[in-house]
Amino acid sequence: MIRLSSLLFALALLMWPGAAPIAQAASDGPVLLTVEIKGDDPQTLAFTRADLAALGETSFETETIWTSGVQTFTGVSLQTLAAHLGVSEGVLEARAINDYMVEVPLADAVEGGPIVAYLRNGQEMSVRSKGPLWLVYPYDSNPAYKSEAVYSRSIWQLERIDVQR
Amino acid sequence: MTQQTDWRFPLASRWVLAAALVVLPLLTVQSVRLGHQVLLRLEGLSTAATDNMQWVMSQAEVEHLKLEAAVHAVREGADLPHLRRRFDIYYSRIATIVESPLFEELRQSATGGALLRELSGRLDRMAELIDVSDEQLLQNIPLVETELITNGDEVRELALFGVVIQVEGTKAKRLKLFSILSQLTWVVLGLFVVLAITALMLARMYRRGRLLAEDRSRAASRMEAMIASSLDAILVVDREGRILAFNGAAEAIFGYSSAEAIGQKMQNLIIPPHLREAHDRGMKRFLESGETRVIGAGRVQLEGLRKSGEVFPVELSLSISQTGQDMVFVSFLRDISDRMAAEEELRTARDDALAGERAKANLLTVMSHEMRTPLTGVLGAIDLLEDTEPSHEQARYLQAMRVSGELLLHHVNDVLQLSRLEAGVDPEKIRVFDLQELVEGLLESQQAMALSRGIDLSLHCSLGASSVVAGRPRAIQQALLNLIANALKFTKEGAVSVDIQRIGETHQVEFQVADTGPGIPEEDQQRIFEDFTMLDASYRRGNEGTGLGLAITRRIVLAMDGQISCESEVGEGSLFTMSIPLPMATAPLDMPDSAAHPQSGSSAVLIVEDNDINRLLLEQMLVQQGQDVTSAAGGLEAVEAAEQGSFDLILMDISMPEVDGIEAIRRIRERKLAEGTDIVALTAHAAPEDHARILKAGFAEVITKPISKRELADLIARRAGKTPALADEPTNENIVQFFEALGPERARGFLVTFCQDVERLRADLSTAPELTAALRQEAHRLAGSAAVLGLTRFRELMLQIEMAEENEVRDMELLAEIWSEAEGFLSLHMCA
Repeated sequence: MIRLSSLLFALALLMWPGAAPIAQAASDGPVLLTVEIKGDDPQTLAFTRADLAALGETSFETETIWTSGVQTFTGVSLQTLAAHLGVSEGVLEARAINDYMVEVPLADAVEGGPIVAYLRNGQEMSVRSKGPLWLVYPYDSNPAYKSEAVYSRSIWQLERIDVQR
Repeated sequence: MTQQTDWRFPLASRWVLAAALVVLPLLTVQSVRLGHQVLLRLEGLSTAATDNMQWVMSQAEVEHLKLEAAVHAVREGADLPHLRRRFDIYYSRIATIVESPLFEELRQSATGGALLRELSGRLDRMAELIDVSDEQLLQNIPLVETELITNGDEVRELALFGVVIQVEGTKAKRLKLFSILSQLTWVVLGLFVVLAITALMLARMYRRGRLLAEDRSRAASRMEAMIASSLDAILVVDREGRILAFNGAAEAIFGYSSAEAIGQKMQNLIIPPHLREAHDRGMKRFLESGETRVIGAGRVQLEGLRKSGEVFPVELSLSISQTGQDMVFVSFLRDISDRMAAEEELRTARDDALAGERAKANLLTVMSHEMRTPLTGVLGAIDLLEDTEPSHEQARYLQAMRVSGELLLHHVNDVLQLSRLEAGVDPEKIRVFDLQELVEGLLESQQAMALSRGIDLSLHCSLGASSVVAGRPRAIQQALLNLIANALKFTKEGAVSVDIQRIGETHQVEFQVADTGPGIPEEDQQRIFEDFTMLDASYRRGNEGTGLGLAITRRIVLAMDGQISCESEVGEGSLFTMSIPLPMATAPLDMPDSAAHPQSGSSAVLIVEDNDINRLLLEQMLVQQGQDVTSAAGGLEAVEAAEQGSFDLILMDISMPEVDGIEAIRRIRERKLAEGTDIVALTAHAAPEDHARILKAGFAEVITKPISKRELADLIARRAGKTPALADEPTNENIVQFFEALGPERARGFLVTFCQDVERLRADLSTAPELTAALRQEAHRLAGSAAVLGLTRFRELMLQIEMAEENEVRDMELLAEIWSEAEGFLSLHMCA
């Protein structure tokens, strides 16, 4: 399944350049996230760290099953991001640098829900430490987040989101 | 009433049900908990991402391969960023394995730990080779390749090792799930069993409940029928007093329909206003303290209120029916108006009858009283007239008047005595007296009468060791006298015998008076003891009477706790028997009054009496007895007289106009006018309450009028301390009684015959050579007559002659002497 997804993603990458115009990031700096909105009005958006921060910064503390000790994550909440993208239902297809893809239901984009983190313990995250972006859920504050499904959606080394509008 | 069905289940069943009900929720909770766990586990199993760890491990291998490929693909500087990115990704995989708690187990295991340390060490070394300038990196590529040669095997080994651990973990999870599932199975099985039991029990309960409900409904319909057909009103009331049930009889009695009554407050509907407060109080008391008065007390009479506002008597029976907290009062009410009315009618009828009886008795008593005073006057006047030397013709008329007057007085006295006895008054105290002496005296007094009728009156006494007894001598005297007088009255010829004997060693003394009279028919033998009974005219034999004699006798005897009965046979005679308790006594005999007052002389007596005739009579009697008499005609004069003179005794009438006797004595005592002098009341009132009132006023004693000469003499002796001259002639009383009994005419005739008989006996005795039986008999007969006339010495002499030896020397001189004395005494009466 996952491998099939990865294959499809590879195909999509091949077709990608002509699919939609690539939006320029609003500010200077390396683009951390590319969002492709599919549908009647296809659109591709690029976000630098500053762009993400400009949407509204939020942070929480939690432990994760991949790290040791309490971590502080800072980033933009998925709710804010979805609102910014103008999507409210369906799923996001989140892709990582290593071609990992996972579907995140937009129903997860709630207040106090997951964030697209760019800082971990106040530090930018390198690729070696699961950066530059990491979709993390506040596992400690909501037991429902301590489930395999949510763990699988907690995608790190995030660099691209596809969404149907 | 109804067949009582036990509504409860058997104890065991109830316990089972209770246990099931306790176990059921526990099992349910347990099954839910286990079910939830199973769901969680199943969810864990169903999620593909559970093999996150394996994924991470395999990804590490994939990234190793990608890195290796990237290293081999390096030809020039432009290929380096791709190499660096691949390395970074590979690095992050290994870092995750090193860091993540998921791999704690792996890290702790010896093999895993060693592998990981190897890999980490190599990773650091490769980072040193890669994190350099591009030129340097290009040179380092062979070194990196060298490092990667063994790296691939190790990463694979780690991944495989991860699989092993994963498999073990999964196996543990599976076993855990299996254990939970098997637990769940047991729990569900248990649940099923308990539910089945509960269902069975419920089914049984349902069946039982239905049976009970049928029973109930049958009982209820029977009850309904009973209540509906009851003749008594039945009300069921709750603790607030609201009517819950109201049957047909209640509708009929109270006038409300059942629909009107149900739900209403009972006290407002059927309790009369004046009883409501008491009802509320009673209800409150009961609800607070449980104290009951009407409830369960059986039938209680109260009053009810009809719809029409009519208050009527009811009989109420109230009970409580309590089921748990639900308490109701059940009242049975009966309309007893009719019964009460009938009872009232009967009561009134009875009261009327009794009142009539009383009125009659009162009238009789009052009339008798009223008659006695004038009668006393008449008799007294006759007494005085006889002393005025009337002509022979006048004397005859006077005699007729006296006889009639005395008879009338006798009747009046009978009636008064009857009413006294009826009132239960027995003023006579128990005294010790010689019974034989009393009876002998009594017979002696009746000998004259017997003699005059030619009847032999005899006495037989058998009183045992002593004839001294304790009892009421006057009552016995009167009762016995009545019987003897009756016997003499009804016997034409023959004998009357009086038998007195003590029954064995008991207290009972039996008096028998037998006659040879005409007898009394069987059917009349009880009737003769009733009031105003006179038998058939043929038995009256011209005897006047009130018909009270035996009635009075019976009452006297009953008052002494005695019995009286009669046996008789027509033509043979009658036998009256009295049985009276008279215990033998050893106490000294009462001495005769006269012996206690041996003094003689004149006393100063004040007579207070408003009735002129009675006063005159008293005066005359006292003067004859040699007393010094002063008279006063009223209370005022009495006080004056007491002030002026001093008296040994004052006799005072009670009812006088203006100042009556009570007031007069009050004034005399208040002014200390007659200190130490007894004041004796004279009254015609025989009622005991009057006597009590009079004695309370300070009178020494009460004498009921009319008073006889003898009584007067006794009174003077008792109260004035002087013995009147009359007492000198003790035998006088007998001859007076003789005259009273026969009337002067016949008495004188008898005396003349007696004198002639004695003279003849004297002549015969002086001439006869020896004492013949005929002479003895004559002496005996004359002794009896002498006893009647009170000629004691002469009687004794006659008895001596009767008993004398045939040839004994007769003391004719003594006879002459005693006879002359007796003749002198008799002549006093013969010439009158």
